[in-house]
Amino acid sequence: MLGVNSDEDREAAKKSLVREQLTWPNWWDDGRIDGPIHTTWQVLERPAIHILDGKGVIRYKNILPKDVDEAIDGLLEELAKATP
Amino acid sequence: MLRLIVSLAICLILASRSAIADETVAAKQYKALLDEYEQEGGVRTFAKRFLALAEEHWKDPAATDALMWVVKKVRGRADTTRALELLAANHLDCKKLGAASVDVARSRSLAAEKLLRAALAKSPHVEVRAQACYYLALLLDSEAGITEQLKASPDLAPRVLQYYGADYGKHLSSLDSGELAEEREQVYETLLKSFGNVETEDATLGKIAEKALFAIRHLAVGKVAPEIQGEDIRGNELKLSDYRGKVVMISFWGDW
Repeated sequence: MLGVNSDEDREAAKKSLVREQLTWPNWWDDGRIDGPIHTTWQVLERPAIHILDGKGVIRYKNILPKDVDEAIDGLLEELAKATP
Repeated sequence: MLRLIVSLAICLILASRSAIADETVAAKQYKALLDEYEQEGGVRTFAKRFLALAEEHWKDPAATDALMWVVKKVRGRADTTRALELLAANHLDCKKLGAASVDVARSRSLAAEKLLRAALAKSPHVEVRAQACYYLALLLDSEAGITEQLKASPDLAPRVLQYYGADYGKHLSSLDSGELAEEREQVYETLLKSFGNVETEDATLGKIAEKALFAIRHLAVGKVAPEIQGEDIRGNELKLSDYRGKVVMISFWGDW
């Protein structure tokens, strides 16, 4: 799990990491929804969740939170089969 | 011989006079219809009358205006389709098709797609070809969006048929997302190469095309994700490609 944060204030972003007990690494995108990472990825709406497989290939875009578990389980299974 | 030339000349004068007279009649009728519609309203009834006017005076520029009125105003499928077909058959050389492309694309149908393709291929005006190319690309984008939704939830198929009508609905359900992506790539390539300098309100068509091509080539499902490299919130180096070999979920979020 990786995050791209677009809070205006980097300190505020740090605080929400602590408050929400987020344990995964997060890029901070210059405090803007039009920051360089958002721009490259053409993210217009937040939150936006994408899932990549073990090869770095985009497998799900703008997936709904309720579908995340099933998607990840499927990809992990795929990964386990590919690396015996 | 001289007599023949004279009589030919007279014929030509008469013909052009009657053409001018006819033009005026059609233009007058078009304006009268517009006034009448303003007073009475009733898009459906007037659609038929604008169509009849366009069919009767199909050589007249006012016919183009009448057909564009139908495309812009009418949401009913049959009349809009007829208007789009008549535009493609009789008015491909009309300069106004450029400004009308937005309404053509918005009417989302097979006939709209055909008209935009024909205008892109055959219009003598570069502005019309540019607009037709841009709105064809947007129409294909919306088709790609629908195809994606259908893939994710196949139970939407009956609603697609109901909403887009049998013809276009079936077309949408039968589209192959890979082929569609290839086609969108070609159309955006054309937009970039042939009409890249054309300005729009937001950006040049070239900039718009570059952004769309990047999304098709690098941000679509099935493509290797673009690298993200930089510092994390706490200041540590963080690189997306270091996570190869793992399933990665990326969340774009903020506390807003």
